[in-house]
Amino acid sequence: MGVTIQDTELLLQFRDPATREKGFTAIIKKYQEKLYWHIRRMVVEHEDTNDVLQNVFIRVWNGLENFREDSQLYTWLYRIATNECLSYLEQQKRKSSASLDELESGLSNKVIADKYFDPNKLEWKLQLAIQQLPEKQRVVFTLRYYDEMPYEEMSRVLDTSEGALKASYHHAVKKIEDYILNH
Amino acid sequence: MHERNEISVELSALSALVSGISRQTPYGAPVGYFDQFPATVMNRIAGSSLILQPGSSAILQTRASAFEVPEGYFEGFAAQVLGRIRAGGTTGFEDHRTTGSEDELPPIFCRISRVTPYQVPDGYFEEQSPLLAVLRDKPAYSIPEGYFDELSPVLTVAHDRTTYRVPEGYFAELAERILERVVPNVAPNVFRPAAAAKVVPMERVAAERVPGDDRISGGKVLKGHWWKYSSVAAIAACILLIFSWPQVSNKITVGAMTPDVSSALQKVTDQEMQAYLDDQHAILTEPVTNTTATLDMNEGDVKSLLGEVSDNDLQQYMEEHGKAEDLATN
Repeated sequence: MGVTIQDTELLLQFRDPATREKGFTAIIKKYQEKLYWHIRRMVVEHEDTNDVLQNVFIRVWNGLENFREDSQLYTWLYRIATNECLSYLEQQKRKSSASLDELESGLSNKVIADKYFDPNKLEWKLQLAIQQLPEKQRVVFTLRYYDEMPYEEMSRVLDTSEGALKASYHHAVKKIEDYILNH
Repeated sequence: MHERNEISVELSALSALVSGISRQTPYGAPVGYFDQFPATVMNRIAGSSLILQPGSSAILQTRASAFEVPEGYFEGFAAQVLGRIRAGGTTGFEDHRTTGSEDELPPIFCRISRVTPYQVPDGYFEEQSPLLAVLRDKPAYSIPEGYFDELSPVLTVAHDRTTYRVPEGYFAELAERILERVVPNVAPNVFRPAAAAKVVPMERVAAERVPGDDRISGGKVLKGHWWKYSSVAAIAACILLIFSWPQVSNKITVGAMTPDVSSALQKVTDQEMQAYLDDQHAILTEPVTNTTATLDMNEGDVKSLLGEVSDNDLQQYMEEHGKAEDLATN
């Protein structure tokens, strides 16, 4: 499965030095929102999301020349974004010398601190429940639930087998259900 | 569409509660964020910042002003970012120093001096660090005087000590032992007497043969009974003399030849004499297979000669000098 026709054109534009910036800008505009929300569901705060998202596209700028096109551009971008999220969360953990539980509670606090937070709404409870999940399980759930990503594509993003992803997703749904029912 | 349906069915099967929750993320993004975001990224790549420009997002401005920034930081920031990108060689920007096209660079670079702002103390590169000067003249390691000339005490002591030991008198007897081994007619089971390291007139070292070992170890010293062995040796000498007496007497008479014999010898030609001598030589060079002599001795004669010599001593003597059955005993 290779890149779509539109992605191919964007890549051609990028690889031409005369149109490199134009092509890259087009790529950003096409994928910025998807990647933004994917990152936002992981790190919660906008500012952190902005930092991570910029880092993602800096990496894309540096690495797009060597993109082999053996997968979709979208899959490649998601892979970079997921890795940047996990790296960022790991960095936050090291900075604050916090344990994993403390980090998760910190993210929950950030959810609660959002100015639009409403504890009575299920979608906010869902966000709190998502923050209780382990990081990788959180990624699997958000990719499947929000981005409706097929397991086959998800396995390329996360470099994990489809069976493991299915099991992870099923466990995540059960945990979220338990959390919502008990809170 | 097919994938969405499949995901919905899967989620419904797992949890009806979760499948009933809206999939809209409740978080909000700043107004105009996505419109400005591509430019933000390109500026960051190009090395100029739009964060602090008027009209940008209030949230972004607030975030930028929350911390103090060193004076002149942003004026050199573009150069820093561009330098990092150029170091990676993936920015696509041509190095104006190689192409000579400075027009391709943003205008901000025209205001940036190419002189390195750092200063070096006067004479820094001419003078060496005092520490280095001291270390240069001082060898890192010192060797005790005469270290390589003298051996270590252990080696000095060990040098004069021989590691291996040689049995006493070994080299003195070595030639004799070798000759004994190379003599062809010696029976393999014959015990050879152990070579005495020194002459002990009153004692004799008997050989002991260790099973499986061809070497002869120093045996025990037999004290006393020397006269028994001397008597046995005398008896053996008498026997041999008796046996060889006829030959000896013949040899004696040969020296005083009668005139008849001498005249007869003068008639013998040289060729006949040479032939006779050749025959004698052949006879003499034949291997001697039996040197023992038989004696006509009765038991009484032997008993009188060996009256005080025990059978064990005789047996041992014969084992040393020959087969016991060669001599008659009790």
